[in-house]
Amino acid sequence: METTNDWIRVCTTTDIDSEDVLRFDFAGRAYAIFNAKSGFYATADLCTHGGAHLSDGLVMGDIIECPLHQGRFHIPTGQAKSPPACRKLRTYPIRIEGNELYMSIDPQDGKHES
Amino acid sequence: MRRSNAVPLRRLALGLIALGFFGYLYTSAIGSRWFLPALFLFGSTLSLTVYSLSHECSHGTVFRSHWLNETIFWLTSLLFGQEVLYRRYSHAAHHTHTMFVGYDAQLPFPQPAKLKAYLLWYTGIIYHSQFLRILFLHSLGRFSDKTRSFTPPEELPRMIRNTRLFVVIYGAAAVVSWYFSTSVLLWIWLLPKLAGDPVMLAYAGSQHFEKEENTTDLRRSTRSLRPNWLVDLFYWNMSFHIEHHLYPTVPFFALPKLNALLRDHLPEPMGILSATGNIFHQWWVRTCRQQVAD
Repeated sequence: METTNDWIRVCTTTDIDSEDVLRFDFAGRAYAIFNAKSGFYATADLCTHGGAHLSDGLVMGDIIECPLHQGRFHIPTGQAKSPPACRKLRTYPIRIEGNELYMSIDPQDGKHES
Repeated sequence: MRRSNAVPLRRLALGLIALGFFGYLYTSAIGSRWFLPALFLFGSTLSLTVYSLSHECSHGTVFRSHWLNETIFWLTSLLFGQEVLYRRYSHAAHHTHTMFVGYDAQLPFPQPAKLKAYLLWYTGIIYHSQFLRILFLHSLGRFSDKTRSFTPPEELPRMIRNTRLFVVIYGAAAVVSWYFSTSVLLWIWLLPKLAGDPVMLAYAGSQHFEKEENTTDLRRSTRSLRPNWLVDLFYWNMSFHIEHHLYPTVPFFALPKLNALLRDHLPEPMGILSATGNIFHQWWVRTCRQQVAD
């Protein structure tokens, strides 16, 4: 695993299908890396409601649906969109260089930085 | 896995046509000797549809369009008699802690169940008293410890607001009926629903009653029913209940395919009469063993 300053190499952009998600573990934490409708994003992997892994969930456009109770989050912003999810999901910046995808583990607003 | 609007809309249209036909038979039979069978047929299918569709939509998996799913969820939950947030959060706790005593939010009575509890369940007394109690308490902003245990505190004000909206709608329906001196709602809704609720409750009860408690093996805590296309038209494929608990993200119309993949690993499903008989048989065996042990 490569790290450049605060940026951590996650995968290549071709590793994640369109409207799909990949689990990424780093330093004891799980992150979800999305190829959503509007681009690549990174969020915390655990649902803020029941603690299930969102990387096992269903991506529909810019929405991730939790596999356990079907709560929904807006991937780019982490906003909870449908109960039982009601608390915001932490988002992380993404950077793309060539086809290499990097993320920062300093939580921000999750804006795409390509 | 793909979500769809076309498949559930076709199913909904078919179900509504069938309900309309049964409703026509029922209203035509008023005053005749066929009244009671027609009431039972219409009421059962009506109650089962409202319950099942509300359940499926609570998972958000029925329709591809979220707004369509939420609209049908609100409508069917209003008819089922459970405020939408309470329905969602209590059901989420049921999925997380299926048949775990003290944690499963939808276990309707203390375990191990007594015969009286089953009689109160199957006659609808528990269901209707819970409906009235929750409507009353939540509209006043009073919540039980159990409800607070599975509801995030920031959602409680929305739960109060929704419950009050439900009360206003029920009240408005009563006032309009009284003002226009009409008993239409009584005949086409209240009476059939009350008559059909025991059938709906038999199906709801078959899902977990007398199955194993406090196990994480959903095949032992949950019961699937033998699929029946006519029943599943109104039960929205909830016959595949173990499959639903194993993979709640799977929409109702894909459950038969999921069943085909898992069949060899699942217990043999029963018909509804066998399942209900099995519940009382298990209760009887358990009670006798307990008496011998005492």
